[in-house]
Amino acid sequence: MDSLIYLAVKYVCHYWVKSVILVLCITLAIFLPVAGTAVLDQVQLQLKSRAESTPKVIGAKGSRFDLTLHALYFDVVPPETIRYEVDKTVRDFGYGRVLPIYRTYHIGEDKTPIVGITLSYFDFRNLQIADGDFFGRIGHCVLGSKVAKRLQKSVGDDFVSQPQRAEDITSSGNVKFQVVGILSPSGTSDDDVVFVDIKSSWIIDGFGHGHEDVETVQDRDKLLSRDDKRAIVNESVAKFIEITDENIGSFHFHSSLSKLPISALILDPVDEKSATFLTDKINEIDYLQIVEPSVEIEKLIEKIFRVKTLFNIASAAIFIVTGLFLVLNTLLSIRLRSREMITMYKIGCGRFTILGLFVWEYLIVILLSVLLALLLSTITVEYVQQMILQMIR
Amino acid sequence: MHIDRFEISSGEKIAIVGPSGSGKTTLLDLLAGIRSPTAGEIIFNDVNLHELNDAQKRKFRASKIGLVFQEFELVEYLTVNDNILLPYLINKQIKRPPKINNRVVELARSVGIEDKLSRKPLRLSQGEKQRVAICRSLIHQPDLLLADEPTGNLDAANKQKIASLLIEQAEREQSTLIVVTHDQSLIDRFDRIVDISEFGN
Repeated sequence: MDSLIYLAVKYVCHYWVKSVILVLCITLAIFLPVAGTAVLDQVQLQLKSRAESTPKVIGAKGSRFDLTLHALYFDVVPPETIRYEVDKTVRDFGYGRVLPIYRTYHIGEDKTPIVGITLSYFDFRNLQIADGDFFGRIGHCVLGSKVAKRLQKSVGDDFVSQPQRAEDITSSGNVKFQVVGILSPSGTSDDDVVFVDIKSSWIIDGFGHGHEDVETVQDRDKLLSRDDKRAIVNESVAKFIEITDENIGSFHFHSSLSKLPISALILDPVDEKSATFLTDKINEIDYLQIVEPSVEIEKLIEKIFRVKTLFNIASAAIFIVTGLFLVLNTLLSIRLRSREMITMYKIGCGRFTILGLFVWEYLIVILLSVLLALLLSTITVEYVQQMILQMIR
Repeated sequence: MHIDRFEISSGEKIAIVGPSGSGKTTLLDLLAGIRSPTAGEIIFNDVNLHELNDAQKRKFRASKIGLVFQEFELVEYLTVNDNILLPYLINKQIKRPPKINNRVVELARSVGIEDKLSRKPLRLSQGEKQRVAICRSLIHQPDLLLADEPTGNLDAANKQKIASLLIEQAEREQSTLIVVTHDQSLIDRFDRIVDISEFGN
């Protein structure tokens, strides 16, 4: 090792408290702008790519932003749902793919959303199965990769859905689902979702159920009356909370499917022209609105940029303060070490060699700071990025 | 300070005495090539220091001169071993001999600090610090050893010991020794005593 580097290392190690303080200051000055920029860029990139891959969204009139975030990230329930019949109406226009989304329930302590969709959604988002298969009937579910890891569920396991609101005593809520597939990681919010068939989501919402065949009930405690046309039973008739191959036939809805709720419809128009026609047609329906996620997200990104500007100013201020601190430290150091430098000069050391010693000491401190800042940034970016996305949702 | 002529023979041990402010330290600086005379010349083994540029003077100091200071001037963040090696660590002009570590141990042993080579100066007594400084001044086998009040910061017992060590080591290394001192009890041990006030100012 070059002897100057050796001396510099010895100095940095001997005065380790001072070195640690310097490293922390420089790390902070580097970390804040690097991590901040990286986080915001990543958030921006994620928001944009998700929005751009979702051409149009239809939902109930209200906040365009909430509707957009709900369709993209499932977390915000729009103020109003729309009826499933809108799906048919839009489909009948024939301008492109129509994908219904319905979310009201969740599982686990972290309230992972259960989202009702149709199989076309997987194709639309290009979601691949890593293990198992897509759902084939009601009562089956497919887990996003992160959910499967977090809940430690695999194909063949089951779980019980929970009402979204604890006070929601009117809904049936608890339905047992069987995991039939795990999705490959997509790096999007789809990794954090339990996907079920849209009819399954209506069943857990209480719009459909399965129970013992009332025609065959003989128990006097359950059977209230029976004539040729109908049998009336009380609530003690067993309701199924699990949908199996044996009892699937008993599951039914007491209203037309077209009247049941959905949160939003994702539209994938075949071309620009179809998108324009569709927009005009939806705008004619007074209780519906159609939004373009990329436009709504762009507005959000503009707000993020304003935050970023403030953040950059704060980072610059910290950078300047750290720089001044380093200058002060250098001046004090030169003063405190003047005798050491004079001694070195007297025993034959050149002025530039002494300067080189100082430079190496700072280079070591800066190198350590850069490494620490990069390490912290790498760790922080992923965590904060997820946190910001959660906050946005 | 005005000196008409001052000759020093090789291997001589000289004590420079004189009142404070008479220029004893300045004389050492001139002999070491740290300062330049306003007039006249300093010849060292046929080399006129006045004719050397700054880099050549540094090389001259690094290779020919050993310096011992009153305040020891050890580098706090280095061990005793590294402090002794310092002339080699900071001077690329002088080549480090292959068995330099053996020489460090040998020098340390000769002044009785071989068991303290891994210590830092903060954990040494004043006498030990000056022994380290003596070793540092001798590590590159200088022709001329200059010591500025080397016992000035030591107690009476250590004064005699360090003075003896300095003379012994200079003899062992065949170095010429010039010591600035105020201490009357030491001056008898030198070949020649030069009172700087006699040069005239």
